[in-house]
Amino acid sequence: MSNVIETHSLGKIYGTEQAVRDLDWQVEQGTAVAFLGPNGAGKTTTIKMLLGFTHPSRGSCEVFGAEPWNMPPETRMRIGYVPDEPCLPTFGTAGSILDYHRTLYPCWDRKLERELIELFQLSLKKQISKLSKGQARRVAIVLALCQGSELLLLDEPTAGLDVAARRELLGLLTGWLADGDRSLVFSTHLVGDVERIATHASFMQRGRLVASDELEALKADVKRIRMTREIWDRTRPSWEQTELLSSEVDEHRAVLCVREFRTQSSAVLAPYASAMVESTLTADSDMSSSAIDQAIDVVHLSLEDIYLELTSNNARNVEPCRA
Amino acid sequence: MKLHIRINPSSGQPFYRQIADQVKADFLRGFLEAGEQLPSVRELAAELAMNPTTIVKAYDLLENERLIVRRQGKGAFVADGKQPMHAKERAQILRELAARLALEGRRLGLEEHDIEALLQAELKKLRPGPSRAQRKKTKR
Repeated sequence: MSNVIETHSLGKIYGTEQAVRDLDWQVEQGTAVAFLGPNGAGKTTTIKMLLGFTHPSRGSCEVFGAEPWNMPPETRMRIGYVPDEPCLPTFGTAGSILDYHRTLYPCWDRKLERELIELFQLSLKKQISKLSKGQARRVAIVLALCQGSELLLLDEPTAGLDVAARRELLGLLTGWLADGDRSLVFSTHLVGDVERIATHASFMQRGRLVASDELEALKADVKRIRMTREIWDRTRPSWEQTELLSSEVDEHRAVLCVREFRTQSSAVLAPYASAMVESTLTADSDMSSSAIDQAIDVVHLSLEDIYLELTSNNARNVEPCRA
Repeated sequence: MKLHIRINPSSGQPFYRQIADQVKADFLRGFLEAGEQLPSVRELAAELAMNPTTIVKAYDLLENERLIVRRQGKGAFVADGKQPMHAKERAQILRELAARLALEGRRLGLEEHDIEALLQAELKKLRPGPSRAQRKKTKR
């Protein structure tokens, strides 16, 4: 599969602030990527660089194999973009903008346009200045989808939409994805919204990419594990082979959130965690594997839980061995 | 036709598996009949606000298990002549639930026969007995 987006050591500095640091990121064709992170993590800055709105301070990025600021119009047309605050002209009606855009894009999808107008119940005669936030966003979405784009960059597209409109938009995007080998990057902090639609997730925090993987792999890798204090004391070194995202240890129990890596074993990960611990436990005692299963509780996490673990402030600073 | 699938994001089961399992369970419960058409990938993706590739994967799985057939350009149908599965196959669907019952029971320090008794008691409740109306009468 080819990559539609590639960045190499990409960085952006505003004054003294490093908005994006050393970003190496790829988006494969045909994937839907949830681009996640708290406010100010560098998501919007990254998207702006990918669109050529701002130059990187370091490194490079390519979209469809071209640098965004040297991009031929034919390539630029393949990228649809909906900003967090849709910037529509302040004059004219919704219909007049659509008329204007239709003439600009040779691949304009008239059929899709009609469907979307119907679905969104857009009143074309309404002055743009009179549109509500949600309606303005819908117009911006229609423009980005109908231009014939193959890659859609959506920056907080569901912010400011009510529950029904959000669901409608997501349903609509599934239809757009079903129509071909199209790619979607969906920047948001409404994690629950994208969990079902995303095939991949990338997490940014303080300008850095902290994780980027297939959603299912990520869900298999990151999990919460609970055990008694006794088991924790005996198996402590084994857990050091995982990336510890957080830990909570008191006299009775230990709760860890770990990120495991499958490089060491091709086994499925839930058994992998206990397999590792099992060898420690069986080596120095007569504990059976079923007894170990009873003593260790593996909790699977939703994308939202994973997001919180990966982007919380205590992540990566934990030193459980001194607990 | 709507399938009314519920997705649990933190069950540890991939979404396509959850969809396939629920379609299978609906079939076994008699909610789906042989020959009945399933929603198209596009329809189900929109209904669940889910990536179409996930739906395709779920349908692939069901097709491999011969529960559905796909006809070119027409969509997916519940397989004709698919006999209700063997008890063994049906039990498979509950295996995970049984494993959890057993494990949680042991974790709580229950003995094997305590756990079995628990299940027996629940089964007993389901045994055909007097109708609800009759039961009410006897209570009084």
